[in-house]
Amino acid sequence: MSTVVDTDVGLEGQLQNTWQSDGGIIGWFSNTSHTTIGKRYIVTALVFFVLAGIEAALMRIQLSRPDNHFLNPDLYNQMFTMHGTTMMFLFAVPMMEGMGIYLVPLMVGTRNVAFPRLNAYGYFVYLFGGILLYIAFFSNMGPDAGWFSYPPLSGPQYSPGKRVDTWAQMITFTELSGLVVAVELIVTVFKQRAVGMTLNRIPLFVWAMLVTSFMIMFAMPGVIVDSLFLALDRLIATHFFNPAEGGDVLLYQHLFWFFGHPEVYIIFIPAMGMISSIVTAFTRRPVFGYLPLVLSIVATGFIGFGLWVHHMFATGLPQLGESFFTAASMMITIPSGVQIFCWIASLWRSRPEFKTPLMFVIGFFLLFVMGGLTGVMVASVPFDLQAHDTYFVVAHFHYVLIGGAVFPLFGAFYFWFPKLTGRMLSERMGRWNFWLFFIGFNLTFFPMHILGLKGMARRVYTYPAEMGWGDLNMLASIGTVIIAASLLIFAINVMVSLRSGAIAGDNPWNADGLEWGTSSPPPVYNFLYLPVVEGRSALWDRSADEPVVCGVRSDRREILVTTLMDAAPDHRFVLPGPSMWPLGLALATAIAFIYGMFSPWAGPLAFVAAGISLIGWFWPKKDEEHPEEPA
Amino acid sequence: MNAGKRLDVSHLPTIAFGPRAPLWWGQIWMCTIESTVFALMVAAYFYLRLNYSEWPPPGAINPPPVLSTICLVLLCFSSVPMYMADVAAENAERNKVIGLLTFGMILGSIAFVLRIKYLMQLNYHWNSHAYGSIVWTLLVTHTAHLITAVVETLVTIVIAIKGPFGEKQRLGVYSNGPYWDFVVIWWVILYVVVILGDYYL
Repeated sequence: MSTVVDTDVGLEGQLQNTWQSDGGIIGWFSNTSHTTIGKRYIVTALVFFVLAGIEAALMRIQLSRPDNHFLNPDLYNQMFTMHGTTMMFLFAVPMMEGMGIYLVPLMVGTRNVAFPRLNAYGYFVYLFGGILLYIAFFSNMGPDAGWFSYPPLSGPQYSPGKRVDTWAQMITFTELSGLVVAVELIVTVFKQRAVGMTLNRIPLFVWAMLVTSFMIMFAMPGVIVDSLFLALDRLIATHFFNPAEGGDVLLYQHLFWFFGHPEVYIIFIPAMGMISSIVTAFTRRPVFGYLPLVLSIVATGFIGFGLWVHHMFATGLPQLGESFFTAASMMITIPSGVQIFCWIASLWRSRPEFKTPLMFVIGFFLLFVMGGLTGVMVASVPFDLQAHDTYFVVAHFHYVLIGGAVFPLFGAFYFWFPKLTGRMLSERMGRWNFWLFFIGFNLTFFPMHILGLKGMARRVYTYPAEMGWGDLNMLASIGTVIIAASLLIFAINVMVSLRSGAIAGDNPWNADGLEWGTSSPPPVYNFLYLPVVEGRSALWDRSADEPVVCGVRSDRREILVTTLMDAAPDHRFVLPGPSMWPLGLALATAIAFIYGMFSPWAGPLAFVAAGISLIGWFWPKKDEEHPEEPA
Repeated sequence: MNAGKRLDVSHLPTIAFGPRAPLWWGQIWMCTIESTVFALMVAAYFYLRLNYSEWPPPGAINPPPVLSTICLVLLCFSSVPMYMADVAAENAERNKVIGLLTFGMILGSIAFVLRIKYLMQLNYHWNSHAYGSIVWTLLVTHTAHLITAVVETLVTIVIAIKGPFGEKQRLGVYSNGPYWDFVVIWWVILYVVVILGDYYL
């Protein structure tokens, strides 16, 4: 029987042969490996992070002193729109998804995501959406109506030209990509967990990605419908947001925040999972309160959908409704508080190793609690009416998003970099990276609380000297320089460590997750033998004889499908291999969306083009017909 | 790694249907996403309605719901052969699959033609008023899903005729089922909300 290979060396060779992608340019475009695509997401998202960071720096230069004319008002409008849009849609969400795509299959012990070609498609759609936005920006078609583009400002009357259309189409690209990632991660977690990884043994990061994916599934349709309505209003003169013909601008805000508030948790919940992994590894014992942590993540996922109106307190909604949303907004602090206390309990008396990843987690505690406290403040309607659209809100959400998600993310970079690349990042530069980021961040954003309370509104391109806001703004701008220095150190650290960092080995931190049970970087097939899990901390709880799965064919891309609840072996399944069709479909999607900014005929055209690509995608190919297994 | 204990799974099948199969779950979640899109559009429909004292607005006349009712009956009935095709695919009965899918597809195609006729009877357009915008968007979105389901079924049939009719193709037929039912279910809802609601209320 050709499928059974006696030696591990022979098996290694055969798996390598089966799972590797083709070489050359075609091989690059047709690659469907989750590690490759995960890395592409991460690198692309980092590029957009740098671009959005540059936009932020330009805004800080403009605001550093009163009556400055570094940027003109029109360019400034584009700057803050591009900054917000890029950070939310092109950096934060795709970055978290990229981490999920890379790590989840490794953490659950399988060879690839459930739908590898869909995964490749999702990446290309995201990439094209980002490129579209920046090409438009550099050709003076950059959106300028804010990252949430409220009508009537973004409507056909007040935003002629194509700027807002660029924004609306870019949204559709990134949401599409987000949705396909959500589906494939959910199915991977549901059906491809290692034997023995029952629900109460799923790693917390995987729980976090699972809840995030469910939130994406129910939240992102909100902005898809919303941007579709906006595009239709602009292109074929529908009246969804036109009060003169029975439309309603508040409908836009409801739909947008029905997506927009869960979006915050879509960014933040994966960070919770990262923190749990890091805390476990550096305290060298299982995290305290696994069950309350899982329940908190799930609870956050649910309550996150009941908060959206707190973004709209200033629109004069009925008071009863406002009270309900105030209560819900305050309620979300309960699961957040439970999580923080669980992590503190994990660290308590544990003699933690204060390596860079853990430093970023400690930084997270301080910054996120601050952001949470100002969150409770703005959840109260009377306070919000004063602080609405001021720099107080800007300070609040940067504490929550940078403190709550970017700090854990940087911890995660230092933590998983050895797994991705096989080399360690420098600890010494890591310290500098952390402390400069922490100090620079507080210098930049803490003064904004005070500026907001003093009445400085968001999105003003300059302010007169008599307002007395100059000093605090200068302080914030100096903080930005320090943040930039810290990020530069991070970039140097990555460059240097890629070339000459210490060799990591399989498990440099002696961590417990399955991803550390294979080489660094992992081979294309992830695991030589599919693992069997015997406890919540997969590697720590592993018994001496290390049971593994055998009998999964290595001469084709076969994986083991397990049952939903108990992760018992169910059947074997062959995953599809490399293909150019995902790129083809992504190109068809992109052309149709871009054409859709100019003509309603893009709809039917998209339909036909997508149809052709999908048929090509699914058409049975001769070489994919594998002979039935020999008896 | 030369392991001691080994769990041999070589005896397990290489195909499974329904909730056991990853593909089925993928299809279910795609339908969930699309259902959320429809649900939010229906929410928008009721939200816009709050702006009107009279709904549909004066002048907007909806034709009697005859065509839409036939459409409803055809679509509901088409779920039966579609379900039977799933069972036949599970049992690898190729000819039965082809026959049942073709029957279901013909019913769906007739429903599509009737839908287009209905849309052509409307005396208002998407740019007439917000009512027109939301009704046209709902109906066109559903019609696009309907024709997608029909074309998807056609492709499945052609693949089945062309052969080989292996595990992949059988799973393909099986995952076509939930999508078809999703299209049918949303027509039942939209029929009640948009067609019946606006004609009688």
